[in-house]
Amino acid sequence: MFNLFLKECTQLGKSLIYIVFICITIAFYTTQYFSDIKGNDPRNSGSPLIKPSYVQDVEKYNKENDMYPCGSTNEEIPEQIISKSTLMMYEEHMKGTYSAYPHGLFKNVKLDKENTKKIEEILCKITGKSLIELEKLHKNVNWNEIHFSSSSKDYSSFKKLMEKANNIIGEQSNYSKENLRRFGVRPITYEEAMKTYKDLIEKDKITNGFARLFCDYMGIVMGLFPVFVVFSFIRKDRKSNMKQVIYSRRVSSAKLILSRYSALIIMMMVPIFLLAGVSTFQVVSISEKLNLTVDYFAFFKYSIGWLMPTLMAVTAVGMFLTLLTETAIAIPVQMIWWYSSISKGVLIGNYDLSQLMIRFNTIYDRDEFVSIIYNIFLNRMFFILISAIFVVTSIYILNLKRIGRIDFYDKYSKYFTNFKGKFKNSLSK
Amino acid sequence: MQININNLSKKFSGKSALKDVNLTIDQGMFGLLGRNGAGKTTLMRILATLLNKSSGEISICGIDILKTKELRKLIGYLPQDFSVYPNLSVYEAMDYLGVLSEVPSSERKKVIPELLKKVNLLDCKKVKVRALSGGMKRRLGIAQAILHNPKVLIVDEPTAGLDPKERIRFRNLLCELAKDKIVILSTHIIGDIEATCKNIGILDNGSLIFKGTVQELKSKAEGKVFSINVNPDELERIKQQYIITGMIMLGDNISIRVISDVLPSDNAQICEPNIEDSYMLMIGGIDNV
Repeated sequence: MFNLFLKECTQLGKSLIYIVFICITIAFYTTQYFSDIKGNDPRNSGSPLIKPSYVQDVEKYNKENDMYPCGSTNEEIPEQIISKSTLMMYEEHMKGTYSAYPHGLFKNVKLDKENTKKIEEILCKITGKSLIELEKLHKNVNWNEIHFSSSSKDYSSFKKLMEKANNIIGEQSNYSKENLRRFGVRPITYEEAMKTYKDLIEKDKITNGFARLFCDYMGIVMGLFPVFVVFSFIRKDRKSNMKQVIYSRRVSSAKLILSRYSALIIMMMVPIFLLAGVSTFQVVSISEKLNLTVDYFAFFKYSIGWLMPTLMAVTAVGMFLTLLTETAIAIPVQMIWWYSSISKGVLIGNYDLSQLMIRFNTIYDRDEFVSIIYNIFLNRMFFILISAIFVVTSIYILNLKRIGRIDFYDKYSKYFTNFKGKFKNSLSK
Repeated sequence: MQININNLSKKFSGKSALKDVNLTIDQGMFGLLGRNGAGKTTLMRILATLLNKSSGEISICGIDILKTKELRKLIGYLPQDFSVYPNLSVYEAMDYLGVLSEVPSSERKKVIPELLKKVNLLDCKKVKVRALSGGMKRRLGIAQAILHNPKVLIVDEPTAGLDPKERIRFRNLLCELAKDKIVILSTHIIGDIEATCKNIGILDNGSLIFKGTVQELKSKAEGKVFSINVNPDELERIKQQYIITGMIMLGDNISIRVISDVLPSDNAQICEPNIEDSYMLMIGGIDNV
């Protein structure tokens, strides 16, 4: 079996689609992960690898430097949230467009007259002022000095009004329950900063934190692009008219499927391992200058435990669909699956069994990661199980195909051809 | 070493492709004749374990056709439209197919050059498959089919589209292989069968309408083949009355070869039948082809 596996690896390695896959993986790594971690260079102020320094007067520091010494974080601070979110709503109202992020994608929302009127009413209720009054105040007065109406001082009634506004504008506007929290900002305390620093340097040994971010980004690649390689690789027998020559040979269906499946997995993990090596080298070269110790295997461990199950599931499902239908159906199916997983727009904290890709878009938050590691483990095990089921089913399907019991393509290709013909005719008309 | 086929039938969506075929094939070359769509490829694919039968029994060298795993060790198959991944070289293609046939590495290293030499492709072992001519590809096809030294070699329409020189080379190769194997050659080219096969079967509309030796087939047309010289005006009338199996222009006249139970005309001369005459007689003439 190892011999066949090597032959399949060689063939895959020479294919154009595999080279394109490597290029996409490298491009994604460079534009997403690499550009994100650039700021972690210890020469930059605020680098997570530099020990935080204690500042006595944080507000004075903020005024002088326009930033907090240890950075800032979001928190539900009603005074800030009411003031800042209302200002944003007023400005969006004046501009005539509202930002929303349905399925994680940016959308510019324009409201009709009736809904615009409703937003005006909400603004007036929150501020206790008419729109003309607000316009004058916006031009002349610091918005923070506006005295909000008594109803809005009750934070729960303010949130209800904002929920109403969110319903009018649409899913995931700036005023949704989750997004409102972003208007509240407070400085990170020295103690908090020290804990984060110690977690990253001592507990995560730097690379574990970075590896989570690496897997967060590379998971997006692994959730979609492998299906193109799988489709091309599995369909090559039909494309090259080799089905009968291969099917009539002595090799068992299990051996053939397992060799091809493992070749796909290993070969598609090769660029990931190479980039994991590059990332380790980057972190090691920085940490050596700072005399910090790192976990040399973190990127590899995370790649196997975090990314490989995604790749295994995508490959198994793609292989099954391509083998069964011999059409490109696996590609749109995978696109829908990928989109439904990524469009939830949650960067940290969603690890239910429907999540094909695990998101954890930060090098920090070790405590959060540790608290959900069991859920992540269950999620990854679920996808390994899915892969195993589809691989076994693929073996069964190939067995049937080899004795001519099923030939989906031959049976239904005429319908595809008819559809294509009709489509072309309608285009030419 | 024998293939036994008893009451074999195959249906596709209710339509019969093979009807109650009974046949025994012994060692040596066996030719399967029949027009396009007669059921030759269906029978070949069933024997190559690529298609399941609807009913009947088949055993190959004593092994039931349902035991595909065991049978695939014994069978070498060259399909009608043989092809290999175009980006592989001749040697790489052989090596890959050798792995799929579970030929050990050391044996592959020994056997592949020998086979390539046998099919006259050794000089092209590094050439990509996409660069091979049609004839070279078929020769590669035969080499891959015998790579694991099968007892049964099934060759489906191997000479279609080959030039005469390549066709003769291919026939000779098959004859050589048939010395210690069962070689089943399916074709609609009668010349291939006549030159190579001792035993033949004729399939028509899914039924086996003849099985026997070439001589037995020829004898079917004994006393029924005539040569007549006619002028072109008479040709149309004769065509409607008799099965015409050959035509040669002789100045203003045409010498035609007809099959008839009675003397077709006074100037007709009886001829020695050839396999083509008998085949045409069996399948009912050119109009049915």
